[in-house]
Amino acid sequence: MPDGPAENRSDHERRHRAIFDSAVDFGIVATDTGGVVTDWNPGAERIFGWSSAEMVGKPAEVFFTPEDRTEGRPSYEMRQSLETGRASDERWHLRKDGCRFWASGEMMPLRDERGAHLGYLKIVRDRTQQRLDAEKQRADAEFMRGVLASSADCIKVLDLAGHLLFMSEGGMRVMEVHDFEAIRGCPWPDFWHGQGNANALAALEEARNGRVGHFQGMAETMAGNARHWDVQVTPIMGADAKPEKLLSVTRDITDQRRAEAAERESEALYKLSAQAASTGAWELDLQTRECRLSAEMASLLGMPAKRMTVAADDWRDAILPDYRSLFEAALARSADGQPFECEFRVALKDGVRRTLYARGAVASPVDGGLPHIVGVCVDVTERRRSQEALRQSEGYVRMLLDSMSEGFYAVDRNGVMTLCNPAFLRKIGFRNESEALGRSLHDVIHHTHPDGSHYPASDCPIYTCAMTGRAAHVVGELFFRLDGSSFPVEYWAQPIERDGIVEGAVCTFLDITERLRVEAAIKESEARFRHLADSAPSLIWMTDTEGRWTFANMHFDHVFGRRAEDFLHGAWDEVLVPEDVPVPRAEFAKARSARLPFAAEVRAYDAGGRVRWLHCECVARTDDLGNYLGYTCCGTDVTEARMAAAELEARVEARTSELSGALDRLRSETGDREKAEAQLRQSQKMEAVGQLTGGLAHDFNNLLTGIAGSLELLKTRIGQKRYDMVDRYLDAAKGASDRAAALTHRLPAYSRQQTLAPTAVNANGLARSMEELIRRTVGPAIQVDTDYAPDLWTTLCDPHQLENALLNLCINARDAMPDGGRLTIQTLNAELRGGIATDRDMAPGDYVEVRVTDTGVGMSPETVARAFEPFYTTKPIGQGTGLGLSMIYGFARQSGGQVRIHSSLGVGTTMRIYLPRHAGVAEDAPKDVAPSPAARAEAGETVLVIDDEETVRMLVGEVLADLGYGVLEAETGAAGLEILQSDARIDLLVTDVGLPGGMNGRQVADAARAMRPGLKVLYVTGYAESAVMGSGRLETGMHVMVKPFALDDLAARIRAIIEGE
Amino acid sequence: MTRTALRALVAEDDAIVRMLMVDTLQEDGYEVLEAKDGTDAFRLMDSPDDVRLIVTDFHMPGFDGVEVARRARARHPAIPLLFVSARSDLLTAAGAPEPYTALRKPFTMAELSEAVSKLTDGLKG
Repeated sequence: MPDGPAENRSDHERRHRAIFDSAVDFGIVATDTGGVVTDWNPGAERIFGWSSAEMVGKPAEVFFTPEDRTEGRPSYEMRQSLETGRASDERWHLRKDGCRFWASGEMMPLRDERGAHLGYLKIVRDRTQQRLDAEKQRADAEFMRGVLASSADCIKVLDLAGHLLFMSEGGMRVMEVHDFEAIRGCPWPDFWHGQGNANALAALEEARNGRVGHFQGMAETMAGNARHWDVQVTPIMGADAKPEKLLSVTRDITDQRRAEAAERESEALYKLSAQAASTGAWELDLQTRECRLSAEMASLLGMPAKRMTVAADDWRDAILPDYRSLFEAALARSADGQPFECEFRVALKDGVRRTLYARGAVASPVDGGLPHIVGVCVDVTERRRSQEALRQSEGYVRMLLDSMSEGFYAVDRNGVMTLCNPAFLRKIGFRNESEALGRSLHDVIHHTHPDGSHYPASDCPIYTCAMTGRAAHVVGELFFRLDGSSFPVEYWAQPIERDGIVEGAVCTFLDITERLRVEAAIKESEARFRHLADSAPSLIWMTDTEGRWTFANMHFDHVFGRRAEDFLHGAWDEVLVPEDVPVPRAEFAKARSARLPFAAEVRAYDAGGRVRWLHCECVARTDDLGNYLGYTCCGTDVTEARMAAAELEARVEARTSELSGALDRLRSETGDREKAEAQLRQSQKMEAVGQLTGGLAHDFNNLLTGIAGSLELLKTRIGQKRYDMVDRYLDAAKGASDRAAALTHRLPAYSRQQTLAPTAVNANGLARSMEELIRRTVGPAIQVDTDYAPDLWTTLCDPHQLENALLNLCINARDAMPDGGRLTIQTLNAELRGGIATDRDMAPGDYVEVRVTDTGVGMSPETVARAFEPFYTTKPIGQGTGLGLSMIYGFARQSGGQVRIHSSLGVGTTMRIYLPRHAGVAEDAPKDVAPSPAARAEAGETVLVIDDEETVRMLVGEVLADLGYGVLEAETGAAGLEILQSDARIDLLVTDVGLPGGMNGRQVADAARAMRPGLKVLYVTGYAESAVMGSGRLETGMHVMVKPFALDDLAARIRAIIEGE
Repeated sequence: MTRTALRALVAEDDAIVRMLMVDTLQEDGYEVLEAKDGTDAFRLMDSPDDVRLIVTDFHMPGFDGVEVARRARARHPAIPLLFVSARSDLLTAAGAPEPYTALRKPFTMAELSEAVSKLTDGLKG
């Protein structure tokens, strides 16, 4: 054993416990063969969160994830470790608080010395920690700043050459400096002497190189008191990240040193006395093999406890037989001059066996006699027993250490290696433990910094830890193999302490070559990402899970003229148009709570202060396992698009407005036009009426002249009593009156506004009824011929429009024949089939054709082509509107027919109106009702006559009375209704349509029908039927007679109505 | 009555009016020639040469009253002319030879007698 025999069991246990407990970076879990936890180290407590008390006796699978448990991972690992000796992996594990962490794990079976399977050992390393290291270091730095600020240490600021620039107040106190000005500018190393001065200069150099210079040494205060100092020199970095000044912190550790020294001293004394109590002394003459034993020695050997002299053989015989050869061998070595050393066992009288340890030095007798050995002997039974126990526990730890892939070694205060594991040997290149143990290995494996500079042991954190107890965690330094090659390491140094005294350190290290490679790859990848992100012409940023910005690309710099880093600290809010902030922010928060994608358009002020539209899209970011990491966002400048869209919108709006305006105008124009057209239609009619008037004035005047003249002469002749002449003038007057009636019957149709009201029409009857009108209209210079098809089909059209059309065609014909000519009106049945119909732009079928032919000037083809255009006219201004033909065309097309023109210049024109054949029977076409003999009324038949014109009422009443009807008369609608409400017999109501007193004939008739359903009604009206009929047809039993009419016609009509037709 | 009956030509296409006019003039002592249109009128005024008065309608089939009047004035430049028409205002425009008298339709037979009487005052002996 390297330690002396004084070392006891508790020392070993402490040391190994320290080793075991120092591995706080490892969760070490032992289980039985069934996977139930039997041991749970502090590292496991720290990593998993469960305490040893909570876990021992529980199945180890609780720290496996549910998926792994479902997969049977725990048992798989145990099986694999049994089969292959170890199972290792990296996977997610569960903490007590339920969160997951990434851990590397190793599992191996536990076996006893005979190889029997005892259980498993699982070693878990939390890799999550590495991610937090940077933060931890920052926190450490923060802590250090706090310490420096509040410390009573002597804190000094030096320039790079080491001249004193500043000293803290506390520093002046401990250094006993009364006037800092006296020493300002002095070289600080000058305060140190000898080795201290060298150490100070070296520390300065370290600090100048950006590292920490550290040493301990003696120096005097300004008052001349020698103190022991712990000194640390660190660089103060300038803006260029190079040391600008140096910071020296000196702590007075004199008292601490003293206490330590005192402790060590008292401990040594204690040890000595404790040992002295059971130490035997002996002397052996190599020549004579004679031994002199102290009482303690005799007692130890089981001999009588008094000073005695025995033979060496007696001693030998006291030893158990198995060990006697050892004793002889030790004596033989000493005979060669080597120190005596032997451990042996004895059996005492009570049968108790003890283990003794003897050692001695060969000395020559002062008197020149034979050499002899002077030695001591101690009872090491307990120690051996505890060593045995320790060996067992060591086996346990050993197994642990052997199983670790991390290199592990322990050093004492001097940096001498006291323990190492196979991984260490393997990594460094030692063949076995003995090559390494007992050596100070700093100069072998840790001699050079990564930058190639020398790494003195005094700077080594592992050494520092072994000496001062300061734990260290270092990443990136190099360890060297025996072959001179190196590898980067991450190592942890933990002090081994005993009773508060630092006895050394353990170091665990990892070969991080692969990790650095991966990190470099990640860095490269990150650099690529950053390059990509920075060169993207969009704003790209990322947030953490809380929505805090963690990355912003260079485009922020370009767009906003501010450092991208500023945006990690809230600059975003400063560039946004303020009113655009709240809504997107709230929406983003909402989206984030559900991890939903988020998009918004916001306005921001760019570097030039202009407002830009940004379209921002954010999506949740997760790692490979789906864990939410934060949001990744992209902002694109859509100002141009927005403006284009806005412009487009504005244009669309403007255009829409224009269109809508145009539409309004069109509507209004259409309205105006409709009005104008209506007016023109009316004026067209009035023109026709004018033509009529022109033509008919003659007739009317003639007729009036004839009537008035007849009556005049009648009166004269009666006065002359020339009664034979009476009939002559009566007949003349009657003839003129009849003709006038026939004419006026036609006139109203031309003075009314009409819309198309198609009815079944017999064109022959219609044309016939107009013949006289047409003759009068075209004048005597034009001969009017007619040629009506005898069995003409019925057609469906608005009869008034057809009349209008016919009249217009005749007027046009007349105008084409200023010197007279022949006008022919024809009606025909036209069967238009296939090509003929198509040629005429009509559907094949049966049509009624109304044809008007003249022998006039004719039209040129150009005129024919334009004939149907509205307002096109060949007539002098004032003579025609130009609407005639176009209206005829419109009427024909609207009625489902067509108009065709055939014309030759100088020959004449033929106009054809085609109207579709109608299956129904023509309703009463205007016809000349031939007077028929009036029939006598049946007895009691009564007619109610309502008319405001007394003469008409009287005339009608007398005619009816003459015919044998009973007559009731009323002047107003109301009076008529009174009669209708009575019980009086009424077979027929004859009423004027236009009545005074608020109730017209129609209303009276409707009321009458309500009281007397089915009452027969005859309207007498000077207006057209439509005034009476409204929009519909007359109800059954209702009839119309148009004024003026012959009394005989009236009588005949009434008779027919009453008899029920 | 010793005076010689003056011969008058009445041209009128409306039979009733013509009849009434003829009756009236005959009652007033004129010898009346009847024409139902312009063509008739030409024929009548050519053969019996002593037509002393022309009473004519303006509007007539064939030759109208203005033609009749022109023809009459061509033969008898001083012959009195009486037009009966609803549109006597159009006579001058239509080329009716001056001087002439016009009766606007409708007119009474008394008005006809008076107008004819005025025109023939100087002619009656």
